[in-house]
Amino acid sequence: MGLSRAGISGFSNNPLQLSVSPWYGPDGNGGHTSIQNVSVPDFAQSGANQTAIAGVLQKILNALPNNPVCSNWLQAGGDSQGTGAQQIQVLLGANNFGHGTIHQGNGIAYEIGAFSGNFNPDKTKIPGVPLSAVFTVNDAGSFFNQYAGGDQTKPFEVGRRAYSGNTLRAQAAILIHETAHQITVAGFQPDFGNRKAGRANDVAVDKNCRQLIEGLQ
Amino acid sequence: MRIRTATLFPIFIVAVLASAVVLPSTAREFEQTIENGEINVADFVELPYPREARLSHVAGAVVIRVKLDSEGRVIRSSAISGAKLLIPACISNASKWRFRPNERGVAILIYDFRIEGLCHGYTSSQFIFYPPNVSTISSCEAVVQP
Repeated sequence: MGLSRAGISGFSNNPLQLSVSPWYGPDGNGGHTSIQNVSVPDFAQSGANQTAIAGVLQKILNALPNNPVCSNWLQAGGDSQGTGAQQIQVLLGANNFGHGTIHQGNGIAYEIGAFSGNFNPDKTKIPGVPLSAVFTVNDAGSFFNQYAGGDQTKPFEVGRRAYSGNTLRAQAAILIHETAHQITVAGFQPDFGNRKAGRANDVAVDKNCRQLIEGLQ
Repeated sequence: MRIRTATLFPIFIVAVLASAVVLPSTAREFEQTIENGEINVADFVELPYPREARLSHVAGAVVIRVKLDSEGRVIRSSAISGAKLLIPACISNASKWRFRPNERGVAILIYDFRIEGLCHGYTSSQFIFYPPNVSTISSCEAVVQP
């Protein structure tokens, strides 16, 4: 079975091939993988995909009060303040998110369902993504598609429960994972280029928010 | 309907008298410099970076004028300049500060919002107060996280 994470999805038949960095390579646990810059040349904040993202955010927001375990977990950690619900409310009110085809290196990053942030690790701004966009959903990824690149031998699997791509469960798992990054939930780790951290984050999402995710309609 | 000049005359006189009382006062406040020596903060309340402004990547300075009572409590605060998404939080925060009373009962507060450096997430916020009246509220640019 391939890699399966919320922010990063996998293909069940063909394990995700991480590129090998000239300066350090994978350690077998998902650490030390090379980190190539991402870009979103066709970034947009409108259209059917934008409406679909907003719809899932709204469903999560509506469900949070009835899911206290998830709601209590989805809080800013450390000295920071705020809740996931507050974050989602602002995102919806100001349209601070978008979508587009996420590229990494020279190719389409099918394995990235969505990302939060505006800067690559090399401190350069992510090409195509405005500074006011808090997260970006991949038009070519598991949020909107069942298969990677339309190849039926590469079905997307999302999160700990391997939800099929382009399902409400997959979409909710992706957006809750990203919200946790945005508000820095306690214990939620930076996971760009780090499979092990990504898997740990997906376990946390599943442990705390599975009921919400699987209860959405 | 015709309005007689005689009817309008008393209204004109009242308006002139009112402006003579109000305008010089407003103008005086506008023109008077508030020197740093007059501003003496006794207690302040930290202000986190307002969420909506941070998520919309709004930064910059907000200048707030406060009116004080005889004991240095803020009885009114208003914005002289600043970004729309930052002003309400500053006005609200300024009203919680305490000052040592000064003769004119006024003070200026400057909030300087910055987004600099890189970090994980959007909730990081650091508040630093530099006497007599400048505060910086810093957040950081979010690094990509899938």
